[in-house]
Amino acid sequence: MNHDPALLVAKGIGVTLRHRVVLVDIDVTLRPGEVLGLIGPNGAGKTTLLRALASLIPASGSILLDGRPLAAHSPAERAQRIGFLPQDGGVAWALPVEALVALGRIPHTGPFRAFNATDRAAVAQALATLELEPLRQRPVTELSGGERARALLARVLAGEPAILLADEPVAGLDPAHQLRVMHELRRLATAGTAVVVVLHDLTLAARFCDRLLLIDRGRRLLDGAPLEVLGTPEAAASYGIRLAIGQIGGRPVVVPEGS
Amino acid sequence: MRASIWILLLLLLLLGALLSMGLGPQGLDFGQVLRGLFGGGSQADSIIVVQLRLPRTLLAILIGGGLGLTGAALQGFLRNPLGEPGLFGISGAAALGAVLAIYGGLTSVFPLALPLSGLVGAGLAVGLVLLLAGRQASTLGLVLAGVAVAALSGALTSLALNLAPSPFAVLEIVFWLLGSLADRSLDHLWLGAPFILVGGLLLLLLGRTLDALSLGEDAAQSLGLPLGRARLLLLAGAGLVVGAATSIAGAIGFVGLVVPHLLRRFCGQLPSRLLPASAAGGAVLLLWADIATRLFPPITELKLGVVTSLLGAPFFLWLVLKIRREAT
Repeated sequence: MNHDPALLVAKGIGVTLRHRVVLVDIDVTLRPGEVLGLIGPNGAGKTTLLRALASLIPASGSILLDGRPLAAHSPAERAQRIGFLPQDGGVAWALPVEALVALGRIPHTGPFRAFNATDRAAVAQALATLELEPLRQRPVTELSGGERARALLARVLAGEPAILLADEPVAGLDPAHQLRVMHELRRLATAGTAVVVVLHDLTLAARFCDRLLLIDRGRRLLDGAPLEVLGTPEAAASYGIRLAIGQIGGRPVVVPEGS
Repeated sequence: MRASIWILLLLLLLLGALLSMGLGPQGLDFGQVLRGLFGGGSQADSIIVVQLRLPRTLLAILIGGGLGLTGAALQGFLRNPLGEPGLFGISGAAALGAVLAIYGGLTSVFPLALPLSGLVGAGLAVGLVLLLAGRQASTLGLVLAGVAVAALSGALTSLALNLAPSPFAVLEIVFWLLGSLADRSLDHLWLGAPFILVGGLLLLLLGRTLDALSLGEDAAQSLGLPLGRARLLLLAGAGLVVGAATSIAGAIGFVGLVVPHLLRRFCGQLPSRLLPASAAGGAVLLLWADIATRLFPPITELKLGVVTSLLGAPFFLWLVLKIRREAT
């Protein structure tokens, strides 16, 4: 059990979008060093929860970041603490990878604070961590899906956030890149970051997360250790399938069955 | 690479400015132009240069620069290379305002009534777009509201033509709509310059937001850049620049669309760097287009909007072919 002081405490989060209730009464506590997996069927409200935690949409309830209400932080302060990796990773222009990663420093720079040596070091570090140095000058439009996912993750890392919110970071990636990204999230947590990751691959969720939060139709169904959550009938029922859980080489494997 | 493109643009600007001030019924060489500007020449030359050709030249630079800058800002904001200054209906509404001034005969009483009424049209267009799109406007909502305003102003402009009292009035309106910088005075400069400069400044403030928007709206907001304020800044800036530009020079197409395309690669694809570069590029393009209108004067001077479109359309075609080649 992790007893570090919480970075972010959200209580009774509710979100209503266009008169439709999307999230009801969700509690989330994020601690340094922990990877929290958000799981649940499509449309359950996982992305909405991430967007609410990142303060991109208004939410009822209370969210405390570093003990202060989220709304009491300036947008720049908030952005320095919380990194958000959206699922839609479209980049509008053919930016070179290095320039793309440098965008992650925006919260730390400003009209009166130019891009300096600290920023350059953070960008170089992020490029090195994800082995992007050979691709530094490559336009992002010419990257493969896996390379692009690494570049977009490096963009968030360059901002050195205390909390990382990642929305389906492994969607559409080959197995090698999926492992690559999950190992990177794990490494970040070990270094003291609080990580929240939306996942549909339950085997990855069981293997890489410390805790799972299962959401269904906007409500919290279960919250706890991965195998405990995945082993319940509610978990399978929320997806409308059965879940067979086994072990291969000491690692948990979750196989969806039936329909 | 970047430094050399800036040097090239500034050289073209300087050369174009000197040429533009020398060109006209009374041809002046560079020496006469400089003496006319800074003293030492004949009084007649000085009057021609300072009162007739300097305003025209400076207006070409200001309007071209403003249109280039607005195009770059809109493309960055919409994350789309097809963004252009006419998009929010501002230029259409400014043109409508100006047309109504001609139609109502105000211009013959008071020449500056034309640009003033154009500015009123542009202001109304911005207000209408904001009203239609609502306070929490999405980018798509803003564009759609702009399309509606543009369509309405286009329809009303056609109605004015339709109901025009005489063929001469129609001709005057149509010629004005084609865009020109001929016979613009220092009064026009003093009227337009403050709007274009203030609007341009507002647009230049958007650089960081536009860079962040390369990653999408959610990512930009998560980087601490509130988009609501950026939308207002963009609309106000575009309204001031495009409203003033259209009110003074008429409808001038393609500058805001083509210039950012041309320069994007020299700016490392970064929207924030593209803004000042597009201002310089737009100024160069319009200045030389205005020179071109005076180079072929068989019977009547070519209209500026005609020249920019004639230059812009083939270039755009070439660009489309190039993009297609790169895609395959």
